[in-house]
Amino acid sequence: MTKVDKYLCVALFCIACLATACTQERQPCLTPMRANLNVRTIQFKKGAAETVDTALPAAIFRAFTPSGVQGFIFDRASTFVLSLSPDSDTSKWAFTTDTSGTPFDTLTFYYRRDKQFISNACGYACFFKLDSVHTTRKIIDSIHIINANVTNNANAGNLQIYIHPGA
Amino acid sequence: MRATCRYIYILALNVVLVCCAANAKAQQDTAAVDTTGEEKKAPKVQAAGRQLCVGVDIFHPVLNNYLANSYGYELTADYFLKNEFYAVAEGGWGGSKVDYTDLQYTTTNTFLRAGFNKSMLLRDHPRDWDLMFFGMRAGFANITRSNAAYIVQDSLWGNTTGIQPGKNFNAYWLEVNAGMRIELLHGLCAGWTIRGKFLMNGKAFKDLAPLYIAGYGRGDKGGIFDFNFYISYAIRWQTESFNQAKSGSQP
Repeated sequence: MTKVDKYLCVALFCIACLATACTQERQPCLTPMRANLNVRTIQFKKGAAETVDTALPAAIFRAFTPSGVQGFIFDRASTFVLSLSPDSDTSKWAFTTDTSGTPFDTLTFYYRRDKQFISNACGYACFFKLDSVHTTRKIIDSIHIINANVTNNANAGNLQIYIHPGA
Repeated sequence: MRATCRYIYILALNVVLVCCAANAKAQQDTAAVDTTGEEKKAPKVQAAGRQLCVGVDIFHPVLNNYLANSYGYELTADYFLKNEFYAVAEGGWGGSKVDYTDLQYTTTNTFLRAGFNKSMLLRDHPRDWDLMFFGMRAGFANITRSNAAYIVQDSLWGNTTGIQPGKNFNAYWLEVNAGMRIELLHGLCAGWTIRGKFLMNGKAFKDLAPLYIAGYGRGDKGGIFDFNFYISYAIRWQTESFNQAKSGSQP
């Protein structure tokens, strides 16, 4: 083996050492961790059978959490991202279409929890499989489960809420 | 299944590329000899006797000092067969300790790799044992993982804690290797090996992939590169009979 080969050997060893030295202790977590319950609202037209998919003026969703009720207002939206409790098999939300005193409907979600290992960088997440949704019917006509699997996929629609005409 | 097929495809492609490169180099050497015209092709230099080489990896022990949550130690042994093929066995042990705010567990494992190296370097003389090689390995590790405590963080509903029960399980992988080894002093050698590794049973890690598997690397990666730097000692025998045979054949 020539001297050049020996120098090459040493050089490659040094490059490998440098490359390894750049390894971080914990990689950053680049995966979405929250399971999204993607909801779409659909309104019936007054006196007509067909539906219209218009944005609600100021929809309010309120989560009944162990630490109290927490509300969210969505301006001019017809799709909403909710979440479910990873510590329980049921979660309760209240919903109304605007801030002008329209009564609230209560949505109760029943589901199974599934702990998912994402990676060592991210740890565990909690995904869900919806069993059923119960609701009061002040402004809500009906609810359809489109996709029961609630995961970190932000594009998968899970639920459609049909709203009474004029609500 | 698709991931496994992909890794097998990459592995096969690597083998083909390495074989093509070795073949091209051999043809280049032959062509260089042929251009001398009158000279006959030089006979292939045969190895003098037998060799068993045992070594220890010094790269990972150095690396252990810089990595707070994983460690690994590796040993190697290779035995010269014939036609510049070496049977290789490698083994070691290691572990990891994960102590993040949302995830805590420890793993320990032992591993074994077996395969071959093929030297691509032509010998200058019978006692020239320097190597530039490629090789393949099949790897196996037995892993013990403790209970894993985790926290699912949720700013709205509050954090949830849980335990993933500990277990024993195995990891299997294939490797494509390349490297060099040179003799520094009489029998004392140094060399490096670069490795491309492909995990074959990644689905076994679905519930919790170990942070580090000694002998393989990061458990949550299906394909990975690794590096070793070995200091080794070569034990040789039957060199006397080779000398006698050589002197007997000379006029």
